[in-house]
Amino acid sequence: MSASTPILRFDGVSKNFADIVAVDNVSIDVAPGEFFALLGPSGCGKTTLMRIAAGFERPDRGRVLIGGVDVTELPPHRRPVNMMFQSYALFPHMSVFDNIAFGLKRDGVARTQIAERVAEMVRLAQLQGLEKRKPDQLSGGQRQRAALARALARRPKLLLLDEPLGALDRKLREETQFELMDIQKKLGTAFVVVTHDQDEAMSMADRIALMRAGRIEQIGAPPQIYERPTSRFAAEFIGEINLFEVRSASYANGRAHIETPEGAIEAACENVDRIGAPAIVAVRPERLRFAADDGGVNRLAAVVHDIAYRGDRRIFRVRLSSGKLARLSASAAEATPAPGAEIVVTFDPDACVLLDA
Amino acid sequence: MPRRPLARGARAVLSAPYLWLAFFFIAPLALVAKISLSKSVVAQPPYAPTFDLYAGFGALIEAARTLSFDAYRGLVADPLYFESYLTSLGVAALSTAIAILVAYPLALAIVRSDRRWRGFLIGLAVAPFWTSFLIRVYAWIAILKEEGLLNHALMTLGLIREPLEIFATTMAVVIGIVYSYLPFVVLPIYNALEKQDVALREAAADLGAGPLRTFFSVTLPLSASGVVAGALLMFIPAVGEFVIPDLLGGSDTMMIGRVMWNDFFENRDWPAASAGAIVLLAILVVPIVWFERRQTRGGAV
Repeated sequence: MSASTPILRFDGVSKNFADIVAVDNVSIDVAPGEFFALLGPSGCGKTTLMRIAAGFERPDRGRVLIGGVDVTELPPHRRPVNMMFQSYALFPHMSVFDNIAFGLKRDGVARTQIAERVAEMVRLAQLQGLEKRKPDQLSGGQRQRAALARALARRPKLLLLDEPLGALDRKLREETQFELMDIQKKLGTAFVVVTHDQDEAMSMADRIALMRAGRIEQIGAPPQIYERPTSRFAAEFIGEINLFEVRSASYANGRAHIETPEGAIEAACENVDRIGAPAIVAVRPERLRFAADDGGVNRLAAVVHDIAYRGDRRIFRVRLSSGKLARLSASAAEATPAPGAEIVVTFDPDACVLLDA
Repeated sequence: MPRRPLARGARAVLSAPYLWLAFFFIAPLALVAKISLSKSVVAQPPYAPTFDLYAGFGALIEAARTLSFDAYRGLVADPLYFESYLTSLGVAALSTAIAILVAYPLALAIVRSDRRWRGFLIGLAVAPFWTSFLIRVYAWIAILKEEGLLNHALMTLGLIREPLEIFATTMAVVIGIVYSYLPFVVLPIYNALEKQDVALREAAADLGAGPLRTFFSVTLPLSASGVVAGALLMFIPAVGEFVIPDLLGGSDTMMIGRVMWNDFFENRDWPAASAGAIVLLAILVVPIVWFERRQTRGGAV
């Protein structure tokens, strides 16, 4: 296995349940040591895809390769991959120690070595002093860490995590995000996380595969997906976004000149073929700002509708000339027009993303 | 939280099971215990003394003085009782063991079957209850006797030349008991298996355990409570079983139910039969207490 061999490769994988298409011709490469997120709404096939990697589901078509080896036909217990279950699936009749040691015993590791490795995992997951407890004597966060320790005990090169933070409350979730990232870096294990939570995916993952209806909608690093969504679905699923309907457009000098119901928009645009097709212009709220003077392009007249205070930021909803509400996110330091104030909002041409409607 | 005194209506409802217990368990048990301390006489009823509440307190004390443990001494002196206790415990234990070996795979197969079929299959397992117990045991006579269905089938197939002697043996009793009590063992095991999270088995597989190891390290230990419950549900009544050994067994299978029946109806020795029943109860309390303790311990840990 060379350094460039993906640790996990889905090669044209499809899976149907009865007449429902769960996964539709998906191909993904995950690099060794990468933190990869499968993101999407419920029912998009992300969990099925992960279960196919673990071996709990057999794909109808396509292959699964782990470390360059085709494992499509291998049962779960013969695959060099471990999984952390959404419900944790800790064995209720076993202590934390025995849970973590379970996979090691199966590997025929010597007893002293098992104890050592378990101790190491206990330290890693900060479960010191809880080794003799049964799962139902642990708190939610401790159970989550015990499940992680058990899944990592065999030192897999690839760990699958099914909604790893889903059962935790909000505050614990954020802390645990950083813990997961630390552990992932420390061990160099490739993590593939299934999540429906865009914030989780954005803050943890090196790369995200956004899924919709069994297909990959877009794969890329979080900033890439956030700033350069390739579809309306991607733009709307991750973060907030303002969409402007394209009525007509012309193209000159790397700029698209677009007529929208809200006014004329000039967009930096490499994708000329979109011009003419039904399209939308997407602009993130933080790229919108209040115009300070009379110059520049992309000036839309608006009235401040309301303001949501978010501590470090304020979210303004402004009513544009068409009656449509747009969102503008400004840092708390900026000047703040009051609700009802007549203002002009503006944004740079390169803040615009032209998408199919 | 301070405990609120219960409303009168609630207290009445809560006392219902205790009243039931008092009338249908404690009172009969007290009667049997009293008879076991009496003497056998040729009279109606066939034991003495009888407590006559109208004869006054003194007469009651006088009658109580004549109570004795003679019936129990007779029990100890009679090897037939000792042997039949052993036989009963042995037959019940063997039948229970066989029933578990049959019921476990059955319950497992039902749990692992398609969800749509499960209710139907469990229904099939319980279906024999729709027919009279007595008729089903009689049917086993027709199957097991020398010219019965089983021998006929085996000989027709050429598997045996001489008919098997099963009817009127201990084996027939064991077969009858296993058959009759099987649903009582299947249901609790099914229940325990059905509650198990599928993710636990997946987790075991994910950690490298093959199907066998997954079964013995996860599935089986997590269904142990169902196995124990089923075993007790079967073992306890099976020890005192009377009908099945009477119909299917021979003279060499002397179970305690049969011995007590003989003492009661043939010998009209009610005190001896009652003493036998009390001793049987004492023997059976042991596994019940063990199970109770196991349950509470399991709950605390």
